Amino acid sequence: MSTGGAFIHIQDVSKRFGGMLAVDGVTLNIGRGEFFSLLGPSGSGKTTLLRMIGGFAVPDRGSISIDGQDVTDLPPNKRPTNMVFQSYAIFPHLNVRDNIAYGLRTERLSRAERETRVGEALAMIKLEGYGERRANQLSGGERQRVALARALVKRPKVLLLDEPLGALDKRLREAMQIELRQLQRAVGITFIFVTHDQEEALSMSDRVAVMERGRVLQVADPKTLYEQPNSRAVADFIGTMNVFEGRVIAVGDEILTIQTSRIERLEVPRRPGAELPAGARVLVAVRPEKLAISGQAPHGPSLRGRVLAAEYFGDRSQFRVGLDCSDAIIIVIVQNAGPCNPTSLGQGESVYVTLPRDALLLLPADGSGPS
Amino acid sequence: MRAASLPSTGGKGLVLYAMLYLAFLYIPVLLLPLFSFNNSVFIAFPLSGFTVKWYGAMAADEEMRAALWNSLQVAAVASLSSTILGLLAAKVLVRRVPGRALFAGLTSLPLFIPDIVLAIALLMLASKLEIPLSLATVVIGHIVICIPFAVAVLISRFHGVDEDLEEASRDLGENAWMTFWRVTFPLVLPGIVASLLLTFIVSFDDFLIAFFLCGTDTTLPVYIWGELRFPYKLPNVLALGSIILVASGSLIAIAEWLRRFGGGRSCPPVRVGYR
Repeated sequence: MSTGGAFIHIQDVSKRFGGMLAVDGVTLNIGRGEFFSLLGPSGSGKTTLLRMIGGFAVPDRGSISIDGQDVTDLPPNKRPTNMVFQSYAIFPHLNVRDNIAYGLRTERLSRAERETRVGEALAMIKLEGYGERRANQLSGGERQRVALARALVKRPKVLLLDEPLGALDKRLREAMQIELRQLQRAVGITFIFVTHDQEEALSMSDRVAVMERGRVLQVADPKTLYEQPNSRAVADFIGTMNVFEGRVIAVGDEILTIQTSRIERLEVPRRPGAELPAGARVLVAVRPEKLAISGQAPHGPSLRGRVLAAEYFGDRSQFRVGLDCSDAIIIVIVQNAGPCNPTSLGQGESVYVTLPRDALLLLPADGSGPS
Repeated sequence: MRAASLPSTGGKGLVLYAMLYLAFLYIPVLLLPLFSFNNSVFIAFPLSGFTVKWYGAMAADEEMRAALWNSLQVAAVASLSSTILGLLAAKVLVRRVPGRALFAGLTSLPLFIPDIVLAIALLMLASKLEIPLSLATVVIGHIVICIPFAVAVLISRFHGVDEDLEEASRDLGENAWMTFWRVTFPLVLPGIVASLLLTFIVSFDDFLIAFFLCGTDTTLPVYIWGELRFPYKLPNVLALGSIILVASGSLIAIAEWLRRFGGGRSCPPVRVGYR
């Protein structure tokens, strides 16, 4: 495979630590100026992959190129990348100004140029007047900004961010998400952002790679990832998903009929992509917020059940509904401001759940993964 | 009421015990400066008068000055060498390397080998290799006993330097050598100074190793040992001992202060999450 014009091209990269395969044959293309996230649970290999892009680990196999240059074996100081560390790694013996100027020694700038760049960086992170402070006089959010400025002042082609918001409290984290996204648009530098927080990845990124056990499960923009996950693992990791096992029993022009073991027959729209013959094992998946719930039997077909648990989240309510026809449980999420006043549906209440046909997805059956 | 008085009785007992404990530790040592100012050759109460003449006599003693100079030279070379070697060892011992535990154990082992055993072993080695005994052999012996102290002091300092800081320096364009000078060295500098001071004292105070290995070049403790044969020189030795006591104590205090507080540079980095 050629680099195909991709700005960052990661080709079949693997890395083993002891007996564990931390990164397992990952191939990824990342575009210039993209905000790209590596999303996965702890131990999925996302940080190891990031460290290989930054030069802190050398792949056992495969290659990494940035802007047409093979960087696989280059040390970090020879790469056009800079990193914001999870711990921020602010030098404790230097003040803010010297921290930001640290990387400029090797840039061979005049003193005046250096002062200008540091001044600009301090302005960018809105910490003018903090130049003489030391790391131990800064709050977590301020340290995070200094780490960001220290990396960006080098004008890298790629900025690597290793869970940079993980140490901040919720409110500050949300503010920084917006700020970081605006900053990325303003400087136009490619960002590769590692996180285990799916909401963070979805809200900030142009594209997201979902990783699990060293492999990339799916690479897509946030909407596709949420609306059309390619596997149960991705669907489970991003948001909540109701999944039912079944078998294709009829293939129509636009509709596939699926016999599920625990509900009934379901008709699912046929989508381009994998062609499924009659008899194939599949999973039918549907997001909880795409379902409708009601105390009275609606007009169309619906499933009768009983509310096992009702949880109130302020803006929305979540119901666990045990179906009458089998022991299957369906999770339904309803906006509290919506038409059906869900707060009246309490535990034990008899309800009807409607599954809109267009909301149903087909996923490969377990054991026949996407790769 | 009774409940409140109980701990205070216990407290009084404890204070008394602590006083006795400190007296036991320090009164013998404090006799040294006391008698060094006593106007008599005999070490006996009652004191016969205040004088500083022993300090003058001591300063005038050329053999003593030569021994002092020898000791200072040996201590300077031994402390510098053992601190540099300790620096290299500590740098490795704080990173995840195979065999680290074994190496760490072997490095501190000389602390538990009796000096007399070490001294005899080194003496045998020197005679087998036909190395003439001199201040050089003393320096080698002192490096052996100083390294564990240097490593112990430096490791505790290196543990305060997060690996991320060195990686950040590499990431910002510096090579390994410049990273050491711009990040690692300034952060461990208080530890280096503390190690120099501590190993200097260890070398300067050593008698056994020097006694076996010094040949005809005596260090100060070996010289003092020789002087004890002449009763009339005892007050000079007391004056000298008092000076050494004060100098050693101050150096140790400085070393400990640096190791603990290090000029306020030991800002702990933010420790978060998992990797």
